[in-house]
Amino acid sequence: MEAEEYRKQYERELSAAARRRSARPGPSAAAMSSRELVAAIKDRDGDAATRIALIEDAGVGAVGKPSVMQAFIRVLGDPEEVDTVRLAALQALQQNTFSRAGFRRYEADYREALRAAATDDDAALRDQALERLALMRDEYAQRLLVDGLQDPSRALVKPQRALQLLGNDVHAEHYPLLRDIVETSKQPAVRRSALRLLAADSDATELFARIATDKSEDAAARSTAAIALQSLAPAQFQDVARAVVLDDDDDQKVRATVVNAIANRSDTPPDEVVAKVRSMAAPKGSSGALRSAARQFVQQRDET
Amino acid sequence: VALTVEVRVNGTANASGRYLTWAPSPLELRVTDAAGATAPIRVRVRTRPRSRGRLAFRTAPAAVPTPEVTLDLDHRGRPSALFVAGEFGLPSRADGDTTLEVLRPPTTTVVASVPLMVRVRKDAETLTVAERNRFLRALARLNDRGAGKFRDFRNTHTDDTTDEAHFFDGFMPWHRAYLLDLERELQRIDPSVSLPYWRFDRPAPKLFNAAFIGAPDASGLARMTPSNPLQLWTTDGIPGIDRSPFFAVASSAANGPAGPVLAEAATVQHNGPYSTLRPSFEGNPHGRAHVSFGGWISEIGTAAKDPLFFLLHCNVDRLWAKWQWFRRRFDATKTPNYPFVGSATSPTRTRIGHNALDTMWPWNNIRGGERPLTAPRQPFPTAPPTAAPGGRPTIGAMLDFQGRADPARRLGFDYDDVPYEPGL
Repeated sequence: MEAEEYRKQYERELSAAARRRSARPGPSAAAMSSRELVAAIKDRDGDAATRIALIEDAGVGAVGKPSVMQAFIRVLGDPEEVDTVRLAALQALQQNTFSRAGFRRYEADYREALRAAATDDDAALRDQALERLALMRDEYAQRLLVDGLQDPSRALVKPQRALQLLGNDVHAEHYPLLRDIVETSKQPAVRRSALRLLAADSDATELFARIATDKSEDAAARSTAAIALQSLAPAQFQDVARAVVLDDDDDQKVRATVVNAIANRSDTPPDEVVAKVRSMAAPKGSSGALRSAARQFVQQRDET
Repeated sequence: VALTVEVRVNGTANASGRYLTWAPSPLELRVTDAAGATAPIRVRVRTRPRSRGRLAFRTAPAAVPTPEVTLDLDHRGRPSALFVAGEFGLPSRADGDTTLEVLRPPTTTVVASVPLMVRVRKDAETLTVAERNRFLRALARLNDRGAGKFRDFRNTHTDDTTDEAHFFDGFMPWHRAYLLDLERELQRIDPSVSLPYWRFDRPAPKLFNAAFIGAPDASGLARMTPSNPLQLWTTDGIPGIDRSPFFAVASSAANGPAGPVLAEAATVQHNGPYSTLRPSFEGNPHGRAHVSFGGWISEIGTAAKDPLFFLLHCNVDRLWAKWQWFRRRFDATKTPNYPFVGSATSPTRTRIGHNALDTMWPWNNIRGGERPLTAPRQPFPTAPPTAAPGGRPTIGAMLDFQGRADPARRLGFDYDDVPYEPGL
C-alpha cells in the first residue's frame, strides 16, 4: 500500500475513534479543580464506583500533583476505607512508580500505606499490598511471609502464594524451611513452589536429581527439578537426561522438558541420547509436546 | 561468456547486508564481466515473482518508489547507485525469502540474484509459528538460563538506573536504544529475528499462550508448553516467570485496577508537542500496561526479568514511531519534536542524559556522578546493514530512526504499520 493512501485511511480511523471517545460518558478528573478532585477521592461517603473511576482518571501523570498523590496514599493506608477504592488507589500509585524520580518523595509514605494494607481483613487488598512490598524486597513483608509459612495460623496468603512472593528475595537462610516444605508438604503445587526457590541452592543438587528421576513424583515437580539441576550441576543433569530420554515409559511431559533443556544448551549429549531424540522427531516417533521438542532439538543441531 | 553483475546491498556483497526495512537502503550494481560489451548494458531490477516480501526501488531516497527499475550499467564496471526497500505492507517471513533479480531485457535471463529479507517488527499476534519459534529460541539463548548476555540487559533497567530512562524526556529515545540493543543481540544469534510487539490495546490470545510468552496460570507463574524454550527461563537462579494478568488476555485489551490502557488512536491523536505527549504517555498507556499484571512486570526494578517487557516496550516505541510518522516529528533539532535540543551544558537543558545532544548511559560508559556506578552494556553494538547510531548514541540519534534526513543514519528497524515517507 502506498504511504499516502495509508495516511488518509489512518486519518479516517482516528476521526472515527475520536467520535466514539467523545460519546462515552463518565466522570472526568480533568473537569474538576484539584481541591474538588482530592475531596471527591477522599470522600468515604461517596459512591465507590465513582471514586474508583476518578482515581483511574486522575492516576495518569499524578506523580506531578502532590495533593492527588497524598490523597491516594491516605486512601490506601486507611483501614476504614472501602477496600475496592483502596485497591484502585494502590494501582494508581503503582502506575506512578514508573516515574521514579518524581515518585521518590512519596516512597516512604507509600511503603507505610502498603504495610498497613498488607494485614488488612480483605484478602484481595492484602494480597496486592504484600506483592508490592515483596517486589520492593521489603523486610517487614518478608517476615510476614516466612511467619505464615512456619505457622499456618498466622498466614496472610496461601502457602503457594507466600512462596511465590518470597521468591523475589530468597536467601540461604530460607533454604531449610524450603527443604522442609518439599519433604513434608502434601500439596503438589506448594512443593513445586518450594522446589523452584531452591534452584539457586548448590546443596540441593541431590534433591533435584532424586525428584527429577522419581516417576512417582508429580510431573511438574520433576520438570522443575530437571531445569534447576541443569543450571546447578550440568554433568549430573546429563545422567538424569539420559535416564529420562531413553525410558519410553516415562512421563511424556517430563521427557519433553528434558529434550527442550538439552536442545537449548550447547553441551553435547551422549550419542545414544541424540539418536533417541532423532527417532522421537520422526513421523510417528512420538507425539504432542515431545515430538515438538524433539524436532526443535534436531533442527538446532542440524543448523549448527 | 555470460554477463556478470555484482549486487551490493547496504554497502556490501556479503549476506550480512541483506536485510531491509521500509526505509531506503543503498543498492549498488556493477558489471564485473561485460561479456564483450562495448556500450552501456541495459538491465531490469525487480522482485523475483513468488517472493514472500516485495521490493521497492528508488533513484534517490525522496524519489517515488517503483516495483522495478530499468537502468544502463557502465560496461567498464563503474557502479550504478540506487536505493531499495521493502514495499510497505509486504514484509518477509523468513531469511532470504525475497529475491532481488537483475534481468537483461528484452529477455528474462537472470544475470544476478540476491536473496534478501524485508525484516520489520511485527504484531506478535501475526507471527507465523516459525517466526515465533525463532524469536523464542534466540531469546532463550541470549538468557542462557540466567548466565547469558541477557543479564546485562536486566542490570541496565533497575531501580538504581531508573533516572537514566524514566520520568524525564529521554524516556522514549532511551527505551528505543535499549530495545534496538537487545534486538541486535538477538540478530547475532539469528539474523532473521526482529522484536515483535504486544498491541496491548487489543486482545492477544496467540501471544499469551503457553507456546509463546506464556499463558496465565493459577500458580502465578506464566505457564509454558514443555517444548517452549521459555520454559527454561531462569533469572537470579530461579526458573519461571512471575506474571499474572488482571484481565482476560484472550478476549480483552490490557486492563487492571488502575484502569484500561489508552488505545492507539487516542495516543496518536495527541497533537501537542513531544513535551506534553511524554508525561501522559509514560503514565498511560505505558504505566497502565505494566500494572495490568501482577508479578515482575509491574515493578520497575524487576520488569526486565520478564521477556514480555520487551514486547510491551516495543509497542510503546511503535506508538511513538506512529505518532512521529503521523505528525512528521523526526527532526531532533526542532523543539516540538524534542524539547531539549541542546546538551546538558546548554542554557535550556534538562537532566544529563535527556538532552538531544547528550550521549546515553550505559552505552557511553560514563559512570559515577549523576550516572550509575556501572555500565553493563557498552559500547552500542554495530549491525552490518547500518553503521548508525554508533557506539555512543545520543538521544537525538534515536528520533530519525528511518534516516529521513540521511539514509546513512537509519537505525535498521521499522514497524509493520509505520511506513516510510521522505521528509522530516
